[in-house]
Amino acid sequence: MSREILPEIVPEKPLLAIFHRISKDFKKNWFVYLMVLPVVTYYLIFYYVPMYGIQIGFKDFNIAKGYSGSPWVGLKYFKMFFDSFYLWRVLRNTVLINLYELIFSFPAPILFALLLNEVKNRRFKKYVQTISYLPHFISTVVICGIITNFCVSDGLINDIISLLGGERNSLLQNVKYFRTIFIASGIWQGLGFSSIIYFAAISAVDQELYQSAIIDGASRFRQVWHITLPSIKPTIIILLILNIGGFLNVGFQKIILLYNPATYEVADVISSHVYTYGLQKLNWSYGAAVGLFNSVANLILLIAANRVSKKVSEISLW
Amino acid sequence: MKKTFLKAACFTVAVFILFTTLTACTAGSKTISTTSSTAASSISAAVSTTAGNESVYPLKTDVKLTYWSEMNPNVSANYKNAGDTPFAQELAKRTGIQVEYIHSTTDEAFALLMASNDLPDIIEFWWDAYPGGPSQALKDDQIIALNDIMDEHAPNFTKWLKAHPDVARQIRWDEGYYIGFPCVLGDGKEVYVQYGPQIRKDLLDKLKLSVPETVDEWYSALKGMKDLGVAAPITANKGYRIDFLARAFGIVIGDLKVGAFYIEDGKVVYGPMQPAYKDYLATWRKWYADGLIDKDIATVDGNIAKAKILDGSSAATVGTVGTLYTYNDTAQKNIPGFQMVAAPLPVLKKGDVNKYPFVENQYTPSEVQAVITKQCKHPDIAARLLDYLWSEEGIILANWGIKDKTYTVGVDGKFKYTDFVKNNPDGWTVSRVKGGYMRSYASGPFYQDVTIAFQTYMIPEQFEARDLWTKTVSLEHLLPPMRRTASEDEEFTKIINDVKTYSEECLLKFMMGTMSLDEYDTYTAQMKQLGIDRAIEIMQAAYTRYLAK
Repeated sequence: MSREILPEIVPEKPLLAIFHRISKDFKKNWFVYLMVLPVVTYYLIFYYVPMYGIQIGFKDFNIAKGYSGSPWVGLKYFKMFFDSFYLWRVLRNTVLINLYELIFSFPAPILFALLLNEVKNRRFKKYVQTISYLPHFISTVVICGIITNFCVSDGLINDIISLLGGERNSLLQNVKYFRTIFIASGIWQGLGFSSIIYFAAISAVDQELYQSAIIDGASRFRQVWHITLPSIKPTIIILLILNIGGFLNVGFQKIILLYNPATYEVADVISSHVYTYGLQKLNWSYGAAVGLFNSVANLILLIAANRVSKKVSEISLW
Repeated sequence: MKKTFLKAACFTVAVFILFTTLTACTAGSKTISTTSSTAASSISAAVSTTAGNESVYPLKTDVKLTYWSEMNPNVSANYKNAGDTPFAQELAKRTGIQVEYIHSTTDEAFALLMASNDLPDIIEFWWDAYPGGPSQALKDDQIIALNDIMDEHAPNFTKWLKAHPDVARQIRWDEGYYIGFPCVLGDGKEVYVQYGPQIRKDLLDKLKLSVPETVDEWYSALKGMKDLGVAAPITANKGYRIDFLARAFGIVIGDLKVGAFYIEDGKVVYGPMQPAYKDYLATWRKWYADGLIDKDIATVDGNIAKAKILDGSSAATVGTVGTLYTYNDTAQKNIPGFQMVAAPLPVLKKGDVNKYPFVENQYTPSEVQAVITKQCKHPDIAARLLDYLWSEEGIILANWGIKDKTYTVGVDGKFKYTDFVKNNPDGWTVSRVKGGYMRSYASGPFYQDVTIAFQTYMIPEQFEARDLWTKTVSLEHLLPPMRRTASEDEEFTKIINDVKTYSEECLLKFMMGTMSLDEYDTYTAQMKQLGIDRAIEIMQAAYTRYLAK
């Protein structure tokens, strides 16, 4: 696609300029725009338009009365959320679990991709990769059933522990082990799938760089450290920013399936709390209010992370 | 040439993707089918209106009603739509009313339906799920109350209500109206007792002990079993049902929400706030420390508990009469001599009777109800349809099915299921046969005959269990089905959720020893701070209102 050199033009209003640029591009590349159209429409219809439903967080939503018929109640449900006895515990647990995931679950796929990339046998590499992303497709309910079965006093993990000389323990009832089990199982399930994007990034690295490094006498480790890692740095940082943008989200499904009264202290997160509080009585207003709070908090974190990243590494989402 | 082809391909793919995205905008999947090929016309023909006279059926009418309900897996296993079942066809034949059954499979189906403002004639659902309950739906003008049409068009139901004033009072709303046809459990004490303690008789025999009756006897029995090698003597599904021990102390724990409220000396009380709770906790803690309670008690779900019983690592549990059969039947292969029997609810003193059994009311407001919507153009016919299940033949149809096909009447007048139900030639399970020919496979807007449960008893232990648990059934402490007002309910829900979470945690902590009983006062103080007193007040107000009805 050759770029034509534009002749000297009279500066026009910026909006008009953009419009002209797009229409020129459109004439040449209309099929690209057409390909994007479904995606844009999808986001418009399913993500942007429904945003006007956020108003139910400020109303006493009644399905029969609909959006316009339900009365405004202002910050009632927000107050309800912030007044709840377990607020701090729930916030703390959400943030902590996400923090641990950041420290452990985030680097894991990167490490995995880097290590597997060093393996010379291509078939072995492919097999391992394929097997590694199979757990991703298993439903959460099944995974939690497996975990529960394994963690029971006479389950598999305890069998191993007693073989090694330890004492049998009901693992899922122990406050100390909950986060470990939650995050470890998350890594096991997500490792393969998340590493795909890193594999893609690694394979995009120019082989000549490696060859010149070998000539310079670099060991395998040094090659990884000085070539591979810096090359995939943009990918890592983008994913990191996105991760931070989801800091107040912890999926409630897995929590609810794995927690029990003995571990509420560390396991109850915002989503599971809202679920038990709001969903049982179809209290959508409450759910919407908390969801809005979550989204706004996440947005602030996302913008902050993006800004910091831009300053520190010049890589950012926008 | 190639470039144009590529462009064309891109264009087609893009358009295709666009269309597939847009189809997602349309409503979720619905399965609609018709019972017969009669044209849907809304011209109502003359309907005989001899009130109270059952020869009114079959009605001579062309009206077709739309009936929305959830599809039960026992039905969907063999039929695509409820209208295809022999039950529905028989019902249509007998009442003369054609019904179009609509089912929806998504989770939010009910909510979406209510939001759509395009309501069918009859909706059968757990109306408690409607925000504010069915009375709110009435206020929102979505459904109608039955009072105006009951006498004339629902004579069977009206007659039944008159014959059962106590239950009628439970069903009737405080303001005096009836909304919808309810699900009512039959008369007969047996229906009240849902489940009870079960224990391994063969192990008791080995220990030369009789079936335990007091708390102390339970302790010795479980301890003896532990010494015999049973790792986790007593276990149960997610631990709640083990509140059978609490009931010996006069404490009901239930679900720690509404289920933990009961009547004591005419007042509403909350189990974990009662003084005896502390004594219960002490005993409970001792049992745990001595290894009598399953260490995994908080994580064990139904399947794991069953597995533990079946492989012998547990010897006692709390379960239904049905599970007695499952255990005894399945475990025989692995453990010769395995025998699980029912035990009475324990008491503190020998000879006492436990007055806090696992009972349920005949009518529970949170159960399914069939209501007639405001948009129904022929509420009289809808009422007639639903009323049929309350007539004598209707009750039989709903509970027993079709004469000589699914049930027979013996010379002694006793009803029995046929082999078609119990040993179906096509290999269908009992529930699935019921799914096709009756409504008694699950709760529904009809009167459930209590004796149908006995039909499926296979072993003598089950009959003994039933007799044992109903022998001393007492309802004196059971909370009647009361209703809170909308504003009370909001306040109540908020308090009770926090209270439940806190109580659950503390119960486990006290049991495991993480919290010592010296901290019990901190526990009660915290409960008060969470507002438990206000919650008790609200329930008391509802109770007083109920009594005044």
